[in-house]
Amino acid sequence: MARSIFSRTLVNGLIWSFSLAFFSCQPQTPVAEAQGDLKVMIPMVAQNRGAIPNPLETVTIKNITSLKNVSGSYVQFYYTPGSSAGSLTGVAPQAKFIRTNDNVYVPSDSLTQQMFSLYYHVQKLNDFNAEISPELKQTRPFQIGLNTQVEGNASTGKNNAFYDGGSNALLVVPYTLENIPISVNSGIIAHEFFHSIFFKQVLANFGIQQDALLKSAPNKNEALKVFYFNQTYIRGLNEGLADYWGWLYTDNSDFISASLPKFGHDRKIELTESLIGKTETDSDIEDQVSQAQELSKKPTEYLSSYIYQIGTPHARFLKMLTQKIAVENKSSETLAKLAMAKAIYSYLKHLSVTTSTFKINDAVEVDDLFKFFAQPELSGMNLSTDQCDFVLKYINTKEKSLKGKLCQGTGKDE
Amino acid sequence: MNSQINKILLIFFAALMTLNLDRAFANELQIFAPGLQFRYEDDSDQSIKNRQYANYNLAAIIFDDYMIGGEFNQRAEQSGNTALNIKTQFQEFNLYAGYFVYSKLLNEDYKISFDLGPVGYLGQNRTTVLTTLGSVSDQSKSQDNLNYGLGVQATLRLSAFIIQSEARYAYSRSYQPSYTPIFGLRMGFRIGL
Repeated sequence: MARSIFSRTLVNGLIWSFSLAFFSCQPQTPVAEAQGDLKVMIPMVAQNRGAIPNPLETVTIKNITSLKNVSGSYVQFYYTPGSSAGSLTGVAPQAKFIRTNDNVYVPSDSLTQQMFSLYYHVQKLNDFNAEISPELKQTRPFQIGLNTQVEGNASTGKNNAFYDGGSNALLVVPYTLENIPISVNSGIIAHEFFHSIFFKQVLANFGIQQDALLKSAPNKNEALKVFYFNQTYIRGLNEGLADYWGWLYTDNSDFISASLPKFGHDRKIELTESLIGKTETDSDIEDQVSQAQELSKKPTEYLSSYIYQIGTPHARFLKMLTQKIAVENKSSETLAKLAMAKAIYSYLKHLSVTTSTFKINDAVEVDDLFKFFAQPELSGMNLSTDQCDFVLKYINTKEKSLKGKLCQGTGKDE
Repeated sequence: MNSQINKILLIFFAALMTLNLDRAFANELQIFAPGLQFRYEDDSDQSIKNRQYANYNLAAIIFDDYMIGGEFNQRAEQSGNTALNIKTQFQEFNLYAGYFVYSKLLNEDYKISFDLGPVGYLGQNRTTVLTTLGSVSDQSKSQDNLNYGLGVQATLRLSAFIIQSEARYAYSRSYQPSYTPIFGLRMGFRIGL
């Protein structure tokens, strides 16, 4: 009997101690509920980082409201999202990570690594946007869909990322290659981020206006040719500028190769002497459009590869001009990049105004960007003689409408 | 929701321990083969996924109605591709103590008996993450996180052979969710002391 009472007391004491520890004590805040500015480890991929050897870097992601979902003022993630009324729908992906003794959060699966990387790069790109113009500063979190399922489209369904203007979101589809995933490639993130700028500044109105012109055209065949010409050139320009943005952010002219080696060579942003001044002409684009209309029921899809032939010379031109400005003006490349980014933002506004006045059968000028940079009044850039000579190689200086508006070169190429 | 579950479990365990049925056990040492453990954890899409862990129950020593022991739980995962991958290893060591509140001798000739009782767990866990990018690797270790839990353990003894199953509800700040249901199954044998 005495033993029974002793046993009972001992056991009760033991179990109540555990119960108190388990149920009553205030548990420590779960690691997943971290908030604020947090240090995370991400792979710095495709970033030209000079002599820094370790590509795994500790960076700070800011304004995190829930690390469990890696959501904050900069980014809101969605997992296998749908879309509705101009916005993504669905659940947020759940991040998995550890917290080290140095209070660094290290991703413990690849999905979380993608989320940390995307958040950090979008944050940096947004901060850069704010430097270009207060108008570009984001007012709400950038929506990103991960593991997006695209049905019935083999070319965009895997190993791809794209900005979807309709849902105002960056969509990343599954990556199945054995290279660096697109969603941690800082150059490709910057590329896609630029598409969001281009969409808001140009495409949103341009698309509606072109559709309206096509509908109201009396000669549909002729109008379709112009429609596809404009669409192809604008898509090419968008891709070229986005590739330039990728270089602007990473300082790496071959950032595509890290994830998509198949496309790296053709889109490498290196301009050789022999290629200076060489771009796709009106007739080149017209030929491609005619071919697409003849051979395919979906000319837009048919021309999806061709548009890079239009865009890449633009990216290479812009990179060389940036480097010329940095070297010849003896400014840092960072300042030269900021000046160029500001000029490109001005160009997008200029392009938007120009195209908004288009009438039926009006086509975009394929040297429009080069003309913009050649005219100090438009671009706001005071180019040196050498820089001006370089830009003038891309345009027809004899064009009457440019008389008296061009920058001052040596005139030897005119 | 969690606090409601906590209250229900508290009442359940309190009721269980008051069922103190008088019985006597011989002192014995229980040794187990590696067992299975299943944890219901958060998945990437916010659903709950059943994940399997390896459970190494080092030994349980029975003193009459009381039981103390130690266990080691482990799980390794890998994600990514050949260019960029992450390997994680979760390790957890727990000490546990319990008390048999119900015991029944099912067959005296074959010495088949059944025991049931609450068990409390206390220990620490740590996760190691190895990130490899091309030829560069980084190994990071988490802080050591305290974990504790309460559960029920059922043991079926067939002479020297033991089959044991358990259900527990455990907390750690590193768990996702922080309160995680855990189920286990293992086999072993016992040695009289």
